Amino acid sequence: MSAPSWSHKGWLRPLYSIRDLGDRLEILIDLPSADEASIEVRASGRRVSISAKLRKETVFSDWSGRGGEVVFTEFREEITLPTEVVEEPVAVDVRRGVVRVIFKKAGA
Amino acid sequence: MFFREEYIGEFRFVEYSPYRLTHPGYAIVALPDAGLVGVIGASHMIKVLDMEEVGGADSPLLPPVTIVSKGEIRLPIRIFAKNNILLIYSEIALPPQAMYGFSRALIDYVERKGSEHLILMTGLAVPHRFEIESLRTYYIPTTKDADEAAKGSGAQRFENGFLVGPYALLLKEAVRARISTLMVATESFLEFPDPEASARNLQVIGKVIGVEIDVKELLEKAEVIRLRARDAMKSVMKNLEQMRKEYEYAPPLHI
Repeated sequence: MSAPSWSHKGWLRPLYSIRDLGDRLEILIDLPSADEASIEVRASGRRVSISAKLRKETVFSDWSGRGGEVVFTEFREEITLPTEVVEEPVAVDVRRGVVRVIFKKAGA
Repeated sequence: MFFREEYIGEFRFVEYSPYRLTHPGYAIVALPDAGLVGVIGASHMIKVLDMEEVGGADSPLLPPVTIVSKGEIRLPIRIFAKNNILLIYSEIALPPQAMYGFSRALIDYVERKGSEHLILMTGLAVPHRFEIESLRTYYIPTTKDADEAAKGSGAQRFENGFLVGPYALLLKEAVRARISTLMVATESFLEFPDPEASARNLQVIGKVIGVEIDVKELLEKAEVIRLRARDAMKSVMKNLEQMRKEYEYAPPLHI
């Protein structure tokens, strides 16, 4: 069973996808309502950590119990890539709350 | 409390109150698929048209799920109606093995309720969605009537390619059952909820069925919808991967 995509401590796990572009990896991350200035995507070997603050606190108040009482303030995620990458991204682009980060594969 | 229940194949349809569509009857189907385009659009349509939940459907082939909505127990497949529009809605991804029986049972059911036209509401996953500003909407008709209905809607005909998923089966069953059917698919993300695509899709469907659907609120709340829909989207992606959705990205060898 997969873990929920939110934590009662107030963070949300974003949706993401990884595409192999040959010598590069493209990661798309869906970060709706994120404060663009706070978005951080850091790579180290095969690991990528993502964090971003929400522009305003979010509560799903019509959801009974569970996450309905949690005030969400940020996104957090740790991704394991299929291969190691060079830490500095080749390109970072944000459009309509979706972030595209392209990393060069290590040794490519 | 049910007013009526009926078994069609392995599916049980229940009604909470008596209803029948006025003429011309449209049945709109919104199931989880690319970008949750149909589901997000249908949820908005239910709100803005103030549609009533009149029934639902269930089957032993579906995951053991119950929906609690405003304190009421509801079935995984929900049925809403207003005047000449019936809306079949599920946020729960239907397993591939349930889709064959469901397609047949659904078409049988909606025809008996007075639906003359079936509208399939969905997204068309495009790998470069991130770069697209202006979304195109495509249609696939199963009859001349459906083809005529789509003209002037702003959508263009989808001529060649593969379709994979629940709507692929519904289209095949619609042809077999000879019910006038129109699939309306707007370019969308595959893996992320795409309310912008839902809004565009609703505008086209509104023109086809002759009902104005205001999408302003849907666009204003797009970010909140994307936040809420993350878990549903993750679950649907597992289902679509099982169905080999990636075939859609392949050009057919023979046209």
